[in-house]
Amino acid sequence: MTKAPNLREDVSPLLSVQDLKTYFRKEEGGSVKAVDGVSLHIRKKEILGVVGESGSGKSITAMSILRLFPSPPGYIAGGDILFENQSLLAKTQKEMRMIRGKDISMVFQEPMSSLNPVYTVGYQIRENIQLHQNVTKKEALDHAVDMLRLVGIASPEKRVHDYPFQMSGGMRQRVMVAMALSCQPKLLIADEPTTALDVTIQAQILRLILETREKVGSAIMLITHDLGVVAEVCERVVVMYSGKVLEVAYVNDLFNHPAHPYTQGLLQAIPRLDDTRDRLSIIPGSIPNPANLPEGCRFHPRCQYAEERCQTEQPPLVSPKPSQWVSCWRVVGEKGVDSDVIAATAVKAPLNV
Amino acid sequence: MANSTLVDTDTPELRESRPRFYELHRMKKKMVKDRLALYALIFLMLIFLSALLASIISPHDPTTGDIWNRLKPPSFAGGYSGHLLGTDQLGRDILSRLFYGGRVSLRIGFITVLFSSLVGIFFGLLAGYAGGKTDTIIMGLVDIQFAFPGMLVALVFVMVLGPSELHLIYALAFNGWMVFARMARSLVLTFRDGPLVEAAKAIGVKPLQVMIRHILPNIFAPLVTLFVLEVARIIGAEAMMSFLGYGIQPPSSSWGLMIGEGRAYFPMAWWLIVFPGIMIASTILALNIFSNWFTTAIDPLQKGQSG
Repeated sequence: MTKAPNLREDVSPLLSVQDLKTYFRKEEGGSVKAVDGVSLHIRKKEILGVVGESGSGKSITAMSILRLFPSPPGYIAGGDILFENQSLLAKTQKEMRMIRGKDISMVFQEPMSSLNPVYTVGYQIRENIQLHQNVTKKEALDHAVDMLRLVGIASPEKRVHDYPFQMSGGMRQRVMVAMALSCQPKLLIADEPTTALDVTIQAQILRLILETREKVGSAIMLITHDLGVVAEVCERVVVMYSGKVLEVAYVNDLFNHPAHPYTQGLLQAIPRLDDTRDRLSIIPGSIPNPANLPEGCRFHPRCQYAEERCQTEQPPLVSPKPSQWVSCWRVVGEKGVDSDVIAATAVKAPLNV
Repeated sequence: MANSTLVDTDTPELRESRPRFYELHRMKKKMVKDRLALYALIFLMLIFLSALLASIISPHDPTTGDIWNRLKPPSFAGGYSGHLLGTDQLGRDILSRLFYGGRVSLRIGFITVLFSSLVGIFFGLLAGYAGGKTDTIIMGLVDIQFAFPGMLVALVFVMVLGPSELHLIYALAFNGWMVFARMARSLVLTFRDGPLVEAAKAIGVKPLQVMIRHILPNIFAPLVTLFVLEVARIIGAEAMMSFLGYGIQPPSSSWGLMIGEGRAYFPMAWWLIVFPGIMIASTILALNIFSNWFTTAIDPLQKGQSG
């Protein structure tokens, strides 16, 4: 039932984000803490879901991995990002350009505007191939056609000469996937790849990403706010809130035994077919303004279990049971662990899941 | 072939792949519909041809005068029949001088704007894309230059360097690059932080290539419009400079210089000034109409509005 066992064969992480802090400098002084101490890791060929509301720091985490966040005003205030045991933060711009699109590639939210309207899709796929592989124009174009066929575009030999405006949204997203996978990346970051598409196309694109992953062998970091998508495709899930990781767990554990009150709230908010309630349950309030974060646990103003301690101290990420990590004082309380010990292990904690 | 009937009807949805010059074909169709723009284009083509073929179609040599036939009115106004548009104060054929003068006026217009647009677009792209200090410095320069009265700066330029066609081009280009810089910068800003540039960066494209290959083609259309408008403006400016005596020097001639030289004889020979004046005005008007049409033809958002 659980997908866990076959994942443990290869324990060394492909990508490991350690206590990452990405801040944005404000003009009037001070910083907006968009990502504030996030730790997560992805194993080879794993599908990791990253869920959270808008403004929880999911996308900025992804952009930090590729070092593509707007800078200035953005800057990395602490932590490290290791890709195949090499720090991405220590790389030069030139080295990063070699990695982008080749080892780590990205699929964006808006297929409508991510493709350049003045070039054919073939040209744009070819551009990626030629940037990273030493091939002729002809070979690159052939490869582009192959990629289009792989992502299920009919008569790719003709379509390769089409301009983006001649394609539908779903087809454009297929092209984006083809482009992202054209250099066999080790990691594919998909930043809400289905948000701009309608539901049937969403399913197609998701299936496509999964199938192509099988063929290409990439790991996937799937950023989404759709828990249904997570349940469908992901192996492990990271729940983010206000720039922090609240919970890390295998999909089954997360859906069956959510440990964090926020995760519980999210799951209760999903309407069910056998539901007799008149109103859906909601989590009261909204995500805090990153420029004006609450003291203590970031979630405490909206948490029904909030205690005095939650208002003053940030809870560490602890493991109530193997393969599940939670950042909540209630869990710490249940376990009765000394908080100093936990704090010391928290940084590298998710690595040991 | 069954396919060919589909392609012939103008239904883009049915095309499997768009022919390469479809866009040009569509613009041609639009051009024929928009009569005013068509006439403007035809007129411009005639002007270009007459300038190109000046040495062939001119009835007389533009520089050798016939002093016995000076200040003859146009033939349709009762003048000597050998000179369709009359002769000037040295007995030179006005029509031939218009052809040759057009050559100079158009050449200066285009070369100047080519210079100013290249420089301006480069700095505009740089300012918009790099942002920060680079942006502040470049745009500061632009603002400073806009603060000076352009024509005076150009006059001083030519006075210092000495009047010649090349110096005139420098002087006018020096005054023209700022509009391109401003426009290019503002257009870049709409793309710089957009998903298109983000996606290009995410596959590892170098900054200079992002600028030139990914942003520039997207902002090209409005810049072309500006180019045409600037050519019109520079033709006017050249006429002004030549009129004041700091532009084209005799014996070569331009429309502006013809007006300048004919100024003294205006009370008795109106044709010295009226014909070059008509040429300047109508060329500028045609360029403006054409650029206006070009904007609407190429910008899908304005498509419904003309033609």
